[in-house]
Amino acid sequence: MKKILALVLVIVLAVAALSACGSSAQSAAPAAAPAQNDAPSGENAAVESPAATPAEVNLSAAYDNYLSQFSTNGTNGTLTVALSPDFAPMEFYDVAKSGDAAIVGFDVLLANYLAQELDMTLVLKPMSFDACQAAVQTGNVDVAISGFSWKADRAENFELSDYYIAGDNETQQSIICLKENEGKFTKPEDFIGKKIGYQGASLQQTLVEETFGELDVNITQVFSDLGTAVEALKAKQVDFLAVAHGNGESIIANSGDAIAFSGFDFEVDPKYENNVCLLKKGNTELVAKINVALAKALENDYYTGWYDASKVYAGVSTLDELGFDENGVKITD
Amino acid sequence: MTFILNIVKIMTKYWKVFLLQGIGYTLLLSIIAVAGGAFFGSLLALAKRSHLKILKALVNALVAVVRGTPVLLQLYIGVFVFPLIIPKLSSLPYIYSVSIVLIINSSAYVSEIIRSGIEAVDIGQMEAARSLGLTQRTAMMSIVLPQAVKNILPALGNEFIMVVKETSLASTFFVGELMTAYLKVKGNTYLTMECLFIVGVLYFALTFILSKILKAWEGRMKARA
Amino acid sequence: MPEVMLDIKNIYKNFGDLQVLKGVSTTVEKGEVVVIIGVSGSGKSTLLRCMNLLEEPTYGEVWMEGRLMTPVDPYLHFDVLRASNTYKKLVTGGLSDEEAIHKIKEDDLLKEKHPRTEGSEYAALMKKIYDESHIDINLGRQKMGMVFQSFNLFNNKSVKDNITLAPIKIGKQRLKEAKKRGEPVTKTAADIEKEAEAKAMKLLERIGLQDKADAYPSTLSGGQRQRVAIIRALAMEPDVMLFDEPTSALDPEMVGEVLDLIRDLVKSGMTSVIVTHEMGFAKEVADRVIFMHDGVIAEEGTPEEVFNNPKNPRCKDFLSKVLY
Repeated sequence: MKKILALVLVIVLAVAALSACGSSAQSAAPAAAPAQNDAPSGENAAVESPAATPAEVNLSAAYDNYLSQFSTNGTNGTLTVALSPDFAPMEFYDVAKSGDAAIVGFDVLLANYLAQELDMTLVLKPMSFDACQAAVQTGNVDVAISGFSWKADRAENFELSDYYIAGDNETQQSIICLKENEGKFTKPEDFIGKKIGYQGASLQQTLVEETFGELDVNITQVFSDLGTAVEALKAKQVDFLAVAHGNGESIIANSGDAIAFSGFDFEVDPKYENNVCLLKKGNTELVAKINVALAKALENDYYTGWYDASKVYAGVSTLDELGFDENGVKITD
Repeated sequence: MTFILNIVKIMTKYWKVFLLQGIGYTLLLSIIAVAGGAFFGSLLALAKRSHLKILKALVNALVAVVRGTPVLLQLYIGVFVFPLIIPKLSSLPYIYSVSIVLIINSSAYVSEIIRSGIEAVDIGQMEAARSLGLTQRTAMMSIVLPQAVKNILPALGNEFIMVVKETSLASTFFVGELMTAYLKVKGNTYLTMECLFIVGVLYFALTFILSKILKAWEGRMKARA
Repeated sequence: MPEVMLDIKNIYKNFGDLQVLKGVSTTVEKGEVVVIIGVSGSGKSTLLRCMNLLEEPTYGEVWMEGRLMTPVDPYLHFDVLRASNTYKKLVTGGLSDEEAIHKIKEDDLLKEKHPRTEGSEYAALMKKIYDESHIDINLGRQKMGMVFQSFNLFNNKSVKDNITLAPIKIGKQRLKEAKKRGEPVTKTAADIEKEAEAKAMKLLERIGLQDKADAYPSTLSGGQRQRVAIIRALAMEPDVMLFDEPTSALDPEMVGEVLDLIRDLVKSGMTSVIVTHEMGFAKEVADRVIFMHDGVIAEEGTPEEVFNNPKNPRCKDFLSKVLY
């Protein structure tokens, strides 16, 4: 019994030490804050929670502004939306918030917008990316909005909405590498003899295969999630990673100056550029309504503001870089 | 060095996600699963000894299916198919369906633990009790079960530790336990290895402390008998 | 006319395809000591275990003090057989009464059939016999004490609790039932406990183990355990004692103390059935000896007849091996 008590004590102490060390780091943070305003160094941003730290710039200000514009109580029933919130800035967690409000990002704004347009009440259902598709198929949720790109076999098995434009997250597709190779690779031929990794079953897979399929480039690596892929890059198991530009920015910002853009961007066929919502095959009524709403959003150019706000929230960019004032209001000229 | 620094930084910002939510939900799910499993597992074990052949066959089939399929698959079925059967579930958070699945899963294993625990008690104990004219029920409750408990408890402890680790699969539905904490923080920071290391240490600490507590408890049970 | 205590009628016992008992019938009278001998696997232990239904006979009936403990065996009741549809069909098919009965028995035509398929007359007769003579299996067992080869003391109970468990549990149950029926009760549950404990202490004194009352069985020697097992059975005040090789698991130096206790018991008039390999003891205490071979009673008689003048060659062979 004594031994166990001792053990519990040791662990409690260890935890206490960790959090103590944490709080001291936290108290030191405000001092460093001003510098961050001008140029967020990657490493700091890595741990800079999206959670608002009052002394600093409120990272969620712009996002919250957009979110507050949406009415939350529809009269037309609920719209349940599946999404996989491990994919900043498209959808991720703000650990300072709780419940549905903790799930934030571009797709969340879109979901709120759609619910408002359809006069429905939004319910978010977080789950893994694979589970999102299963949830739609079984009718467990009405729609999945989680950065899905258009694919032929997806179109076959699901009802897909029209495109929505998630800023440059999908339109710009890039290749990232270790810092030492930054900007040195600009055309496909530069990659001959190198190893390029990509996330399995993603748009990047299609792009890499289309671009490098004919060349003597090793593109065999497949990762099930981006985080693992980044580890492989750091461990030099691959030389390059094909990623959406927005994800690339997040990764670079969090890499502690270890990762950079290679200088190569893919030429993206317009059909791949954008994201779609997934609905159950045959649910044409809801798809039609969603498409009307999406057309309106495109026409009024809502997407850019949402995307920029989400990027700031995720700590990828700063407010003034993307043209917001410090209260998160877009500066129009 | 950056690895350690990153871990410190992650814990600075996200310690609540790991230590409060993560460990909290992992323990909550494990306790729900094991307590529910112990209760329903006992009922299943009783049903297995029933004279009703249909009941017996049904329970055996359930146990075979639960033991013969991956927990992840069971979770998918629980989350996406149960609401079709019980409409009420579809309006509740996934943690309800996930808990039900974990209880069913644990019940199946616990019923096997109880069955083998009872079978490990010398048949002569039951025979002696019956030869004195005691009913099956009295013999079971006064003689066989108290002896079976000594076999059952250690195995139940192991099951608890297994369940703690199995709850990680519930992260597929972001219910908030340790592996969900990993997904959340990794999704924000893209620092996969650091996050994995943190949850790894926490899982180990949890199971290690649990196994020590269970061992001490077992020792006390043995000393008493 | 001596009073019949235990009546075993045409017992068969199959374990799967293995026939262990192939039609055994015998009676045990009040005060009689019957010793069953035979080689291992001859079915002697199975026969003893069939007597208190620890093994359920495949066919045949066990009667305890005039009450039926097993289900009704239609093969033992001609009137029941004659009421069956199978019999009626055979007779209308041209067989004589005797031939029909023989055929039914020989071909086991009533086996595993639901009584209803043999007609309402058959079912009614079966039920009538059952209702008239059946006794609850637990009540029957309370009248029969059993002593096992491996003692089977309750490991989780102290010596005293081993002895008092059944008297207390059953006493309280009877009390509850009596109250339910509205009968006047003179005892309380506490009385039952006190009485059982007093009796247990008296029995322990009789075997000189009163100082072990609070010990657990694992701390006793084999001989002590078996003697406790015997008085545990006696605490239920049984009418018959069944001993299943009570000394086979004992170290040689402990056999004596157990045999002494059993000898005491039978000398005081306890009706007993004893399966044993102790031939000297068998010769000494038995009123009747049964030699089992290959699932049947191969020889039966007084100790003098069986031990000194066996007629069955198997029995002769067996005795020549164990006696000299």
